[in-house]
Amino acid sequence: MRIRSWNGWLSLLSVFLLLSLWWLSTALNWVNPLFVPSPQKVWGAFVDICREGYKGSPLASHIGESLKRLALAFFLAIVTAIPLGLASGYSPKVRALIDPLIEFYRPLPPLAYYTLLVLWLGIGDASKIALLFLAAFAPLYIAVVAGVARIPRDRILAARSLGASRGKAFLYVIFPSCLPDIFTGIRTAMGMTYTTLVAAEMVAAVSGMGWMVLDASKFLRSDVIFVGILLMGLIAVLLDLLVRWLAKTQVPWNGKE
Amino acid sequence: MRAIGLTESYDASPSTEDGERLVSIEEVSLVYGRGKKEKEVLRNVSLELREREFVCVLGASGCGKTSLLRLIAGYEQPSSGRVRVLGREKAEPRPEVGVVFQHANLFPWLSIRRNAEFGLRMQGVGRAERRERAEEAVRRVGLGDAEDKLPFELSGGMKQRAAIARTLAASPRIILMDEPFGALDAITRENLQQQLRRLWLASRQAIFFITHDVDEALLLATRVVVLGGSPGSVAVDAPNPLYSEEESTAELRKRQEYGKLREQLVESLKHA
Repeated sequence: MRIRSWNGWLSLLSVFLLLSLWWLSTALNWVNPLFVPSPQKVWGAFVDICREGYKGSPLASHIGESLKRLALAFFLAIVTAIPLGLASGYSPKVRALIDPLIEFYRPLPPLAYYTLLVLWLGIGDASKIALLFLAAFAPLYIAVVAGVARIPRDRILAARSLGASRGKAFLYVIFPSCLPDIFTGIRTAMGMTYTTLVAAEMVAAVSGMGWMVLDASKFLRSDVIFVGILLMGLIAVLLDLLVRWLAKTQVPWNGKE
Repeated sequence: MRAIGLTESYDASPSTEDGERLVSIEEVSLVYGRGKKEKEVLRNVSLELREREFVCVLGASGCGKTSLLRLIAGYEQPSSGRVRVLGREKAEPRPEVGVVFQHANLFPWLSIRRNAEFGLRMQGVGRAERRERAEEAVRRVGLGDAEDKLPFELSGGMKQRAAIARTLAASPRIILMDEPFGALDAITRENLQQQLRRLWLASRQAIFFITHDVDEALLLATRVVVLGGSPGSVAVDAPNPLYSEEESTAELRKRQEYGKLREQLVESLKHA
């Protein structure tokens, strides 16, 4: 316990050191304030944006727009990748059908196919959500397939010997067995979609955190860029904490079997 | 099949010959793999299990005892010969044939009671009834206080008792047990043997029990089968002369003939 609380202090210390370095370097004019704004200036920009919004929309709607896109894409990924992953893990035939497609698109840089998505789906939210969906789908699908492969064979046999048909074994044993892997997949997928967020808001967007950062860069508003990046980082940490909390409460047996 | 000393004191053994035949294995061979990787694990094995019997199959590791159990459970298909279980030859798991594994193999996301309910739930038994029957089974193995716990919160011995409760609750006609106490410490193992014996004496459910522990076989079985060799075959198949309905396992161990029988069995295991 003592060691753990020590580690917490160490983490705080590193954050504190970085902030001090930032403050020092701006206060002592080590860097050009045009490129590295001072903490005070960033705070000021943050307060401004909170009060007046950025380019016509309040800050909350920028965050809301981004989160809405993320949430929709994520929802779509969860309802497709999990069943498909379970089916692929269960049946080699299904896997043979789906795997090559995923193995092909997964390593592609999202920006490369984003151009196509825009051509097909237009410049509205549909193409953005499709891009984020693709980013979330692959890691989630792969985690679920791996999860099915890891289920002890005897566990499925035990269920069958207790009277579960193949279909029921799928629903009542294979699915819950994969829950820990599903949560791991969700965390990875969350990271992937988040990194694609800025890319998704690059084309024809007028709102969103990613767009705000890109737009600010055009006007050399480094303070706004900082605000956007810090906000994205904080929200990412909060989202990850949320998923971890969900995993802890929903799959308390994880790692203790 | 070699004759052994076990049959000398036949008089004390129960008469189960008249019980209905639940499992019959006739000249079964089992070969895994193909071509160069081919491995014959069982050769020409014939066995049967009747109602009210507690058959212990003894054998060193690698002699195919687990394969034999998997054949009866319907997890494997014999390469040749016939495996008939409750009048059917189709190799398919089913609720009439319960299985207790070496490692408890409980469903980690379900509480002990819900684990015990699983079989009944799969068979479509109503909520109230299955809850009652599951609670009854959990109580029978002495886990009443732990019924709401998740498996990872239990000790190894408790997990194994929960696994037995899960199988009992589904009320199978045959229970197959694959070295269920093999991974437990000596004291827990003895407790569980004692408890299983009591449970069996009360219900007389047919049990097919696999073990490598000679004492376990002598203390629990109505009939002892020694499997040996590679590929495995039946070396001994005889009623257990030590079988008794009254005595506790501790009293059985104190019986005069215990030592001698034990020695004979060890000997036959060595030469099997």
